[in-house]
Order: sequence, then C-alpha cells, then structure tokens
Amino acid sequence: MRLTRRDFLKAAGGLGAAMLTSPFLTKVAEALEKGNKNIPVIWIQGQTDAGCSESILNTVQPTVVDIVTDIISLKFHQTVMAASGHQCIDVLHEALKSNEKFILVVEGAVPVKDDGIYCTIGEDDTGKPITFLKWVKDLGEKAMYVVALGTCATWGGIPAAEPNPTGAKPVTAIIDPKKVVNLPGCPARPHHLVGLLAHLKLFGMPELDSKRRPMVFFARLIHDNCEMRPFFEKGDFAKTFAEKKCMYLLGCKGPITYNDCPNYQWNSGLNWPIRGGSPCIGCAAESFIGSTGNGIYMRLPEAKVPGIPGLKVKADKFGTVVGAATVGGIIAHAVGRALSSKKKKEENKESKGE
Amino acid sequence: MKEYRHPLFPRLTHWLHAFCMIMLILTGLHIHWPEWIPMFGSISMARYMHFIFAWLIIWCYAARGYYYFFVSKKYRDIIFRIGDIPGFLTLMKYYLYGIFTHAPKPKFGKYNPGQKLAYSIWPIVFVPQFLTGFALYEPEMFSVVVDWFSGLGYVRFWHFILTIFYSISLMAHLYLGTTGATIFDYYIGMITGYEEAK
Repeated sequence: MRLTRRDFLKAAGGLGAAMLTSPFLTKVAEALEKGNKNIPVIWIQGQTDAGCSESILNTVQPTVVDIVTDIISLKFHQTVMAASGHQCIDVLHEALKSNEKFILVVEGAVPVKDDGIYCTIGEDDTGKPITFLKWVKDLGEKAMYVVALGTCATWGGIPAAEPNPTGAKPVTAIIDPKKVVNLPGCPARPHHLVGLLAHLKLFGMPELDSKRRPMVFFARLIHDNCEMRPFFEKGDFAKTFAEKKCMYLLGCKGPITYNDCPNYQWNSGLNWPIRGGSPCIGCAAESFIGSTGNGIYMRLPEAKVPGIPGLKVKADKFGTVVGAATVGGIIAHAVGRALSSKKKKEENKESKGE
Repeated sequence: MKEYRHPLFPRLTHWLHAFCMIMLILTGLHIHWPEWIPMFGSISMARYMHFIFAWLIIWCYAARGYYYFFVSKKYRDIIFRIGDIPGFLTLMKYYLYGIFTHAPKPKFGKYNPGQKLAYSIWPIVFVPQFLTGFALYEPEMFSVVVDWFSGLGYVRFWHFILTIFYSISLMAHLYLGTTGATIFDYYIGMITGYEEAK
C-alpha cells in the first residue's frame, strides 16, 4: 500500500498529537511538501550486516518509496542499487570529481589495520582494490554532512569488539567529527534517519549532544521512560524471563542507553523489547557488545539502586495515615452531629413539656 | 458591599486541593520529561512526592464529597443537569462575546452552568486518572487495569493525556477567576470568604 501525501500529513499530525513529545514528524511532512530539489545521498557500507539498510527499508511513515522520490536522490547504495561493476563504482568517482553537494551515509565500522585492506569497494585504474577507509576519507571530505548510521559506524560496534582483528574504528575517528551526525542503534531506527535527512535538507544541522547524536532522539534514557519503571522503584525484579517485571537483574541496559524506544517503540509502535519480555541489550549504547565487560545478559554494575536514601515514611504508609485521619474525622463529625441533633430534639421535647 | 460566600472548610480544602494538583502536575512533568524538567532531584524523589500528593488529594476529595453531600448538602449547586444546557449556551455567548462588549453578566444561582459543568466533570475524570495512577503505583495489584489498557506504556499515555485535560481546565479556571467584580475579587473571596455582593 502506498501512502498519498495527504495520508502522510494526516498520519504525521496524528502521531505528533498522540505522542505529544516531538513536532518532528510534521517537519518531515513539511520537507515533503516543499518538494524542491532532492538532496543527493551517497550511502556506503563497510563492516556491516546491512541490518540498518534493512531497518530503513521497513519505514512506513513515510515509506521508503516516498523518501527516495520526495526527500533524497539516492545515488549509490551497494545492496539495493540495480547497477553493478564499473557502472556503480563510477558514481563514486564522479561524486569525487564533481562540485555537487551531497550527504554521505556511512553504514558499518571502518577497518584501519594494515591500511584498511580488510574492507574494499571497487578498484582503481590499475586494478588495485580501493579500501573502504579511503572512500570514507575522500567522500567524507567532499560531503556536506556525514551520517554515521548504526552502532558500528557510531561507536565501532561488533567489528570493533575485542580482540578487534581488523582495527575497526567509528566514522568520527576517520573524518572531521564536526560534519558527522551519529545515529547509533543496532539497527538504527527508520524515523531517526528519515527525520535527520529531512532536517539536514530543510534546516541544516540539528541540535546535537556531546556525542554528536540528535537531541530530539537521544536526550532520554530508556530507563527514565520505561514502562517497567514502577517495578524498578519498588525493587521488584524479574528473576526469569517469564515474569513481567523490571528486568534490571536480568541484565537490562536501559539505565545506560539513550534512545526513544519507550516512546516510539518498534515496528510502527506495535511493541518493543521490554514489553516483549526481553531486557534492553543497550544496542545504541557506547558500551554495546562487551566494551565495558558486561555482556548482553550480565547485570550492570554501575547502575544506581532504586529508592531514596534516608527515607523513613513510605508513600502507602502516609496514605493510610491520612486516610485513617480523614475517615476518622468524617465518622467523628457524623456521630457528633447525630448526637447533638438527638440532644436538640430532646431539649425541644423538654421545653415543650414544660 | 461584601457578602460571605465561602465557609472555612470549602476554602481550606479548595486550597489544599489546588496545592496538591499543582504539585502533582509538576512532579508528573518531572517523571514524564526527566531530562528537561528535573526539578525534584531524581525520578525516585519525584515519584515519591507524586504518590504523597496523590494520597492527599484522594482523601481531600473524600472529605469534600462528605462535606457537600452530607454537611452543607449544597451538592445541587455544583451538579450539572440537563436543564442547565440553555443557561450554559447563554453563558458561553457571554464569555466569548458579551464580556468584551461589557454586556451585563447573565444571572444564575450560586454557581453558573459553566462552573457546574467543570465541577461535575473534574471528579468524573478523576476516576480514570485515579485508576491509571494506581496501576502505575501498584501494577500487580491493579493488573486488571493494566490489561484494560493493554500494557503499562498505554496506562502512562492515558494518565498523561488526562493530565493535559486537567492542566488546560486549570488554566481556564484561573482565567475565569479574574472575571469577577474586580480582577482579584474571586481570588480574595476564596481566601477570606467575602466577595462583592451581586
């Protein structure tokens, strides 16, 4: 099913109103409305499983068709382009020669060990393979903006995990970080890339945090907006995966992971790991895959224990006391009034009798 | 000429209620947007205060209910009935137009149909607010409520939407409070009990 532009505007407005968190999608709609020259995008993949591409292809609001026809002009993408051989590699060479401005999307980590020979795209005139490292350097220098898409491109991710045999590095280690916007996540979330591309096209660089992630998506900890937070606060933890409780002791990485999963969820808002009974594995966190020594199901050592230090009176105790006082007051009042009205009646009787 | 309109008990509970409401909205905002509005230190603290004020407002409501139904028996003054609809339309016409052309204020009983409507809707909306709130407080005890909303995430969502309703109606309440004989007449009346006679 294809969304018409009108449908999309409606959906964007409706979703914006429903979530009450971010007017971002309506701005995406504006980007589509303007319909001026589509911004050229070159998308290269290094040490990646193409999961981020897969994720973006699944975007529904707007659809990926809307994106490539209305927002961007996708010049190069290894896994989805129809061309092959010289036909496609020439696109990259032309991009380096021409003066046209473009956005570079880098998916996957960049291996730098042994001059980056562990990952190559195409060949030069002499038949020598061109390393991914060189492409990222050259294209990155030429590009207006560079989007580091996914955890591998942002932090190094799985390719950079110990012992890191290829010397994998994040994009910000290769090119000037001032150009780069990081979109971590394994995979990156569709609306992050769509929103970012629309923002870059319409308004330029969005507001970024100290790790160069867009504030609109990465300002909040998963833990802070988690629907299992009530269980955490009570110290009521799941001991097996079958329990619908806080999964902190089962290794949840929500307390260290910045992302908007609790608000937007996954699969168009259908569900998300926590509700599905799986702890957050911290796929968007810098420490994803063992760089801090805790694997997916190992409990976080550094997260704070719930509760308020030195707290004496619990909220329900307070409620019980206030409730007892109120009910007591009501009963005392009712009884007092009943007695006094009885007394009055008796007085009236007595005075009549006299 | 001043007139004694508000006895001590309604005045006290009104302000206790107002204070609880404002604290609930503020602590709730902290819980909802912890990185933008972190005014109570930690989420744990904001949640704790939220529950304290939730308990206070619940018992305050109970006391007020008892007062209006069994002590003053003035509940007829504040319950909106079908017969109030024509009066309500007249009132809306006045608030949207007449008030700006200094037309005379339409006369009603102690409370006008708009006030009756607000004071009747607030306790009704309080019920789902109370239920969603308790579902977030004791998710296991109130698992039935959690299931109605198909998950704690949606419980949170509706709790927040109802807060938006309360916040907007609070603003309307504050604005309409300035439409007395003078700007602060109704506010002073709610503190001292005395208002300009009509």
